[in-house]
Amino acid sequence: MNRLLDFRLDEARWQSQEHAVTDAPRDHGDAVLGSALRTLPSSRPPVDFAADVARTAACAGLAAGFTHPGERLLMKALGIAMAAGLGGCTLVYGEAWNVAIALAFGEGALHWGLLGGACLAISCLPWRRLLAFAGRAPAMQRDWRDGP
Amino acid sequence: MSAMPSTPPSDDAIGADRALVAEVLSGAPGAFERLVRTHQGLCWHVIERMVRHPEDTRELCQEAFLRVHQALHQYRGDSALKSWIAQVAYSVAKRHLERRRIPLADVPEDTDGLSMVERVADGFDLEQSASDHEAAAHLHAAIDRLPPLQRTLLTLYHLHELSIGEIGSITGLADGTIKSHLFRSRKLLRALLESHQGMFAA
Repeated sequence: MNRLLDFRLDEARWQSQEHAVTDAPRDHGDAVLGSALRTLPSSRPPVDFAADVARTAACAGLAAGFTHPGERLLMKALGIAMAAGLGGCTLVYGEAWNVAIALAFGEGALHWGLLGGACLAISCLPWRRLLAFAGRAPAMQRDWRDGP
Repeated sequence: MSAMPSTPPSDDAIGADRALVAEVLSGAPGAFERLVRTHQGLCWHVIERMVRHPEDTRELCQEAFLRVHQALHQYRGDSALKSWIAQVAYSVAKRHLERRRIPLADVPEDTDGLSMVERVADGFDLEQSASDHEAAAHLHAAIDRLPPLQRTLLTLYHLHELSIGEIGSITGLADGTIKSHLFRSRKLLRALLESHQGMFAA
């Protein structure tokens, strides 16, 4: 690869080849090569390709959820409000819930339940997505540095 | 001078690209499908030339357009939309080859000692060719055996008639590097013909 990149192309040689192959072929060989290059065979996308991609993109857009910045902000605000409400309710009624759960399921049931909920949250809630994204982030950054 | 067009995209073309992008971003029905339909040919050819596998081509082309859909808000209209999309397609195909450890470009001499000329010329018997058409078919087969980058560059330059600058923006390669690859590939193909020059003299 290095040898290839080290190759310093003489502009005159480039122009000469360019002229021979594309502008005015000097001989039959150049003409055949120029013609072959201009008629490279290639397949076409299937007829339903564009519609298929558009459908997939629409589904992906729906799955990704809210994409508008305003919508995302509202969703965040709603999430914060719900979390605050849950916290407030727990403060007010927490003791009563503890007693009710202890009566129904036995002493320590609430603690085990909270522990189970925490395990669930760690294993399958947004944390996993966050970790997955963190693991993927360098590759994505590299892609888009190379890309647009 | 180069026979390939090197003029930058016109204001009208850029304006049309921006209008189409604005339609897609505003969620206009059918706009994204129109965008795909307009640019699927170039995207398909870039990926097809790079990976040379029909199933992978379809899958990667779809992936490229989904990326375009996700990142379309980043398109500023500084360059032609087709170059921007081809850039995504090239990036997707390049990553695919890297994952499969397929070299993008070839060194002049393979590790097994087989030169690129010998490999590309494999089965290339112009003495069997009775016409220019057959000679072209053999050349097409030889081009198909070139490394992914070389055959992609030949396709972009000669089939799609993109300028060196446009190819540079798609592949991220310097102009000199692109010219170098094109020069070497064409010289190689020309050498295949020269070795059977007698046939053409007839």
